[in-house]
Amino acid sequence: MFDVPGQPRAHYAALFEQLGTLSVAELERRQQVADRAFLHQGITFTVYGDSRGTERIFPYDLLPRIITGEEWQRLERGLMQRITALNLFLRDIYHEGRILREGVVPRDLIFSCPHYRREMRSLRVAGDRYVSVAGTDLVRLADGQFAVLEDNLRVPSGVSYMLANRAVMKRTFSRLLARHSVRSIDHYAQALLRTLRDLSPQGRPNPTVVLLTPGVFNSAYFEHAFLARQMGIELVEGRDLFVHDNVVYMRTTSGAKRVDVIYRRVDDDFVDPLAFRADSQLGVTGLFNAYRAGNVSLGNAIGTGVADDKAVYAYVPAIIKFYLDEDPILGNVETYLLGDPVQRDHVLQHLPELVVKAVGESGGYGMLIGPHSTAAQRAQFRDRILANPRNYIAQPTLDLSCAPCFIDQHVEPRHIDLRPYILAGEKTVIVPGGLTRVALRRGSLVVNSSQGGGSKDTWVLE
Amino acid sequence: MSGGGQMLSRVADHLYWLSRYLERAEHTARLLEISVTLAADRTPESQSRQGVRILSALQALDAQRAGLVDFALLAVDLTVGDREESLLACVSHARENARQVREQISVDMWEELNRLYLRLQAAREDRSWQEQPEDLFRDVRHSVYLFKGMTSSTMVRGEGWQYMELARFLERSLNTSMLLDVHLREFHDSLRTGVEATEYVEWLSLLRCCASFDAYVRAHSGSIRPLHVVDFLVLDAQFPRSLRFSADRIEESLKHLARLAGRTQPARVERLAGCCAPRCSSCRSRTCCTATCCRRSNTFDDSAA
Repeated sequence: MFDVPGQPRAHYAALFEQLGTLSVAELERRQQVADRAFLHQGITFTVYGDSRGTERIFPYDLLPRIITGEEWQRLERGLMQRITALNLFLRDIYHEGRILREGVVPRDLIFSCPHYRREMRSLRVAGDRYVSVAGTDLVRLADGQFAVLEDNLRVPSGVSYMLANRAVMKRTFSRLLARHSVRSIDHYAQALLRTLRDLSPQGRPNPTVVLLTPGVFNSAYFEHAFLARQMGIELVEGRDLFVHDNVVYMRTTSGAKRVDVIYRRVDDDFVDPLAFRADSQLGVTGLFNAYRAGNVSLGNAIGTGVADDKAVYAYVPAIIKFYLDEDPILGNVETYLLGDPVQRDHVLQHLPELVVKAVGESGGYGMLIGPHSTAAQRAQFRDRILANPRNYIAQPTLDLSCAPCFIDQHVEPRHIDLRPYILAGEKTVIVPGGLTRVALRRGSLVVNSSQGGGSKDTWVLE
Repeated sequence: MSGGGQMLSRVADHLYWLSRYLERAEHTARLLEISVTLAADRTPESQSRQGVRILSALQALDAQRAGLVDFALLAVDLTVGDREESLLACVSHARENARQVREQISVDMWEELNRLYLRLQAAREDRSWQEQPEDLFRDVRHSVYLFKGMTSSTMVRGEGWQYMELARFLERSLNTSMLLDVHLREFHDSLRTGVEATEYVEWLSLLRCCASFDAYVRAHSGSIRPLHVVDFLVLDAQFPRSLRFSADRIEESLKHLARLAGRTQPARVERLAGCCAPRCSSCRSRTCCTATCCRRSNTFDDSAA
C-alpha cells in the first residue's frame, strides 16, 4: 500500500483517506456484518473431529487489495500467454512429443511425474483445450513485479470466495466501492458456462453440461453448488451418472438423460474406478471409455497435472519460448531442481535460507520453510530429498508483498498472494482480479486456508 | 431447470425429505408451544399425561418414558436433545437435505434454514431460552413459515415443487392422524358424553395443536363438541390441515408428477392415494374413520418412501 512510510500509493489514496474517517468500532461492526454474512450463507468449513459439527467461516479481511488497470493489463497478457503455451505443451507430450525429442524438457521428468497419464496418449481432446479452467498463483516480489509461483491446472478451487468476497464488500463498503471504478467480476459464471459449452463433443449444439462434485463432505462443496446454481446446470455426484454403450447419462425422474460435458471437480484418480483407482466411490464406472470414444468432454482433461508439477514448472519459460517463440511476460520464481546433482548440493548447503516443496503436493502441505524451520525438520527434509530427489524442488524464501489487514482492532501488514482464474474456451477470458489470499498469522508466509490463511476482496481499477 | 421432468432422482429425494422434515419441525414446535402455554391450566398429573401424549403423537414414546414425565425436561429434550425426534434433529436433517440441493433452492431459502439451524445449535449451548420456552418454539414456527412463504413465492411449479408439496401433505396428514389417534384413545368416551369441564383444555389443546382453533370456531361456533372437532379435523374439505385436504393435495401432486414424467399408467402410490382421498371425504361413520385414516396414512407413507 505504501511506497515510502506514511505516503500511500496513488491508487490507495482514496481508500486510505476514507479509512481515516472511520472509527475502530465502526470497522469492527462492519467486520461482524461480513462474518455473519458468511456464516448465514454457509460459506464455512467443518472442523474435523468435532462430533457436533461446529462450522467455521473462512476468515475474510475487511480491506480490499487494489491493482491498477495498467498492472492488470500486463498480468492478463502474461496469463493468456502462459495458458496458451501450457495447452500446446500438454497436447504435444500426449501426442508427438516434439519438445521432448528436441531436449527442451527432459523426457524422464515427464514420464516420472505421478500425474502423467499414459492412458491419455493419442487421445483427441475437444479443441485441444486440455486446461479449460486454471488458477495461477502469483506473488509480487521485492522489485514490485508479479511472478508466477504455481500453476493450478487440475481442479483449481476458490473462485466462489472471490465472488463471495465481492458480494460482501458490496454490503459493507458500498460507497467506497462506488467511489472507485472497480471492474466487475459478476460475469464469471456466464464465462465459465461458455467455456464449458465450447468443449461440446463433436461440436454438438446445446450440450448438456453438468458439474460433478465429490459430494457434500468435500471442503469445496459450497463452491460446487454455488457455481452450478449460477450456471443453471445440474450438480451431480458419481452415483447420479452411468455409462451405457460409451455414452454418459444422468438418472432423472423421467429416466436417463444424455450428458455431453462434465465440469468435474473430482481428481483424475477418482473419476472412473475402471480406469484409475478401483476403490473410488466418487467416480463413474466406464466414464473414461466414454471419454476415449469422444462421446463426452471433461473440463479439465485427464492428465493435466503433469503441467503443474512443481519441477516441470521450472521449464515453463522454456516451454513458452518453444511453442510461441515469445519471451515470457510473467517470470517464474527461481527454482532449483533437486534431481540435478549440482543444484541439489547447493540446496542442501543452504537449507536454512530456502523453501523446499514436494512437487505433487498442494494446499501448503509437504513444505519446509527454511528460515522458520528447526534443525530437526531440516535434517528430516535432507533425508527425504536424498531418498527421492525428483520429488522436491527448492526456491528462495520470497519476500511476499504485504497488504494492510484489519486484525484485532488494528490495521497491520500481512503477506498476500493472488490467484486469478483463467477460462480457456474458444476465447480466453480472465475475470479481472482473482482471489487474494492472506497469511493471517503475523510474519507467516503460508496463505493456504488449511493453514491459517484468509482472503480479501481484490479490486482491479479501470 | 426443474421444469419438465428433467430432475435428478437424487435431487427429488432430497427435496422430498427437506420438505417433510420442515413440516415435522413445525408440527413439533407447535405441539410443544401449545403444551407449554396451556401448562398453567393443568394439574401436574395432567401435565405429565399430556407429555406422554405428545411423545406418542411424535412416535417418540420409549419404555422409560411410559410412566411419569417431567414436562419441563421433556420440552428441553424434544427441542435440543440427542434424539431423532428433537427439533434440532429435524432442522439438521432438513438442512443436510437442503445442502445437497443448494443449487436448486434460492439463497434466501437456504439462509433462512441455516439461520434456524444456528439458532437451535445456540439453544443447545445457551439454555437461557428455557425461561420463556414458547418464544423459541414460536421462532421456529415462524422461521418455517418464512421458508415456506419464500418457497411458495419463488419456486417454479415444476417437479421439485410437486415433490415438496407431496412430502408436506404426507407429513401433515401423518401428524394430524397420529395426534387424533393418541387423543381419541384417551378421550374416546367424550364422543358420546360431551366434554367435561376438566377435559375442555384437552380438546382445546387438540385443536390448537392442529392450528385449527380459529377455523373451527368459525365453522362450528365457540362450543367445543368432540364429534364436531373430529369431524372438522378429518373431513373438512377447505381447512388446510384436515386429513381430507391433505389427501386431496397428495393425490393432486402425484397426478402432476405422473404427467410431468410422462407416465400414463398409475403407479402403486397413485392407486393408494386414489383410495385414500374418497375415504376421507365420503365416510359417514366418523368415529371409526379416524383409526382407518391413521392406518392408511402409515401404509401410504411406507410405499411412498
